[in-house]
Amino acid sequence: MTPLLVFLATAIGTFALRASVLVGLTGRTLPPNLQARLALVGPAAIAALCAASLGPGPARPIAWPEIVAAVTAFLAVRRTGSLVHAFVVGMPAFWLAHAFGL
Amino acid sequence: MFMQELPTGTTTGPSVTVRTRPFAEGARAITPLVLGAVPFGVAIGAASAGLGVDRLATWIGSWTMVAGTAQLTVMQLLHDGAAPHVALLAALIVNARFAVYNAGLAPWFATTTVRRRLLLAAPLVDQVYMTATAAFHQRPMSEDDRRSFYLGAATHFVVAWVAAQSVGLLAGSHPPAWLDLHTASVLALAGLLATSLGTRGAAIAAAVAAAVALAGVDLPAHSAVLVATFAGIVVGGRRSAP
Repeated sequence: MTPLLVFLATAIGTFALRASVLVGLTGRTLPPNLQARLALVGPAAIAALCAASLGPGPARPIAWPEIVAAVTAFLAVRRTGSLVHAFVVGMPAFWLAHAFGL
Repeated sequence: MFMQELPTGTTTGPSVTVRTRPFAEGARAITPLVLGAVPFGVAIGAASAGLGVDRLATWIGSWTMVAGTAQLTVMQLLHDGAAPHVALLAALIVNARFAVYNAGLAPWFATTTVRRRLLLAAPLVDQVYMTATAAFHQRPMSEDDRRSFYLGAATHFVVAWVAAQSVGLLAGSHPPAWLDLHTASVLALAGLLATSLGTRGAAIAAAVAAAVALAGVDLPAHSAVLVATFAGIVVGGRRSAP
């Protein structure tokens, strides 16, 4: 029962986080310099999530095949502009890096 | 039935009007990110059994939270013997970035009513935010079209997410090794990052955030991502200021 209660409490708290500013700003506009900073939220958050997923953790060594795959996927998408290439190029890069014992 | 088809190409329900074309465009635009998230969803469902979490609870968590990292955090911490309130706090810290996201969405829905804003807030996740704001920056849309585009992307994502976790729950704790579910989710993030670096400020914000996330790996309760995101916004904003 405990996991279900924690999930439900997290869901309620997360909804409050998701709605707080969006609802609080109803009928008002943000200053331009704040809007410019908010445009950086996406790149900063995604980069942080990506680094946290790839970097070493307290009980996890650096995963080189995943780093090779992620860098390859990043470059492929930068070059083509298509997100599908992250998988089309990235997964084979991961399998190759793994096969070569990285 | 929630929505009914109108001859004008719009659908409507008790509280929201949806334009079918931008709705379909949003659903299509998020497809690559759905492909990246589905393996992660399957992995969470499959991990549920291994971590001793009731399957029904995990399934309910999939559509009430729509937040994989937080869900996994709760499961892992409870499995490791953490108190429920500690698991809850850690999950909310992981999800605190959504407060920053909804601040980023607010300017695009300036005249949207409170009721509709609550509807938009419910499925706000990384993938939906990135897909929607990238499209809003790329081409002009009316606010109604933006709302429909966002809801199309969100609907596609949430349906796929719940379905993926359901498959993982049914498959059990042994997904095939070659699939490497964690890598697929990392690749989705890497691809997402590549599309988001449109300005010098964005590149600086991303570089700083990545460095801080790596340096802060030992921060308590998985707060490194939140701290890193703020650091990236502050430094990127200063460096890109005219």
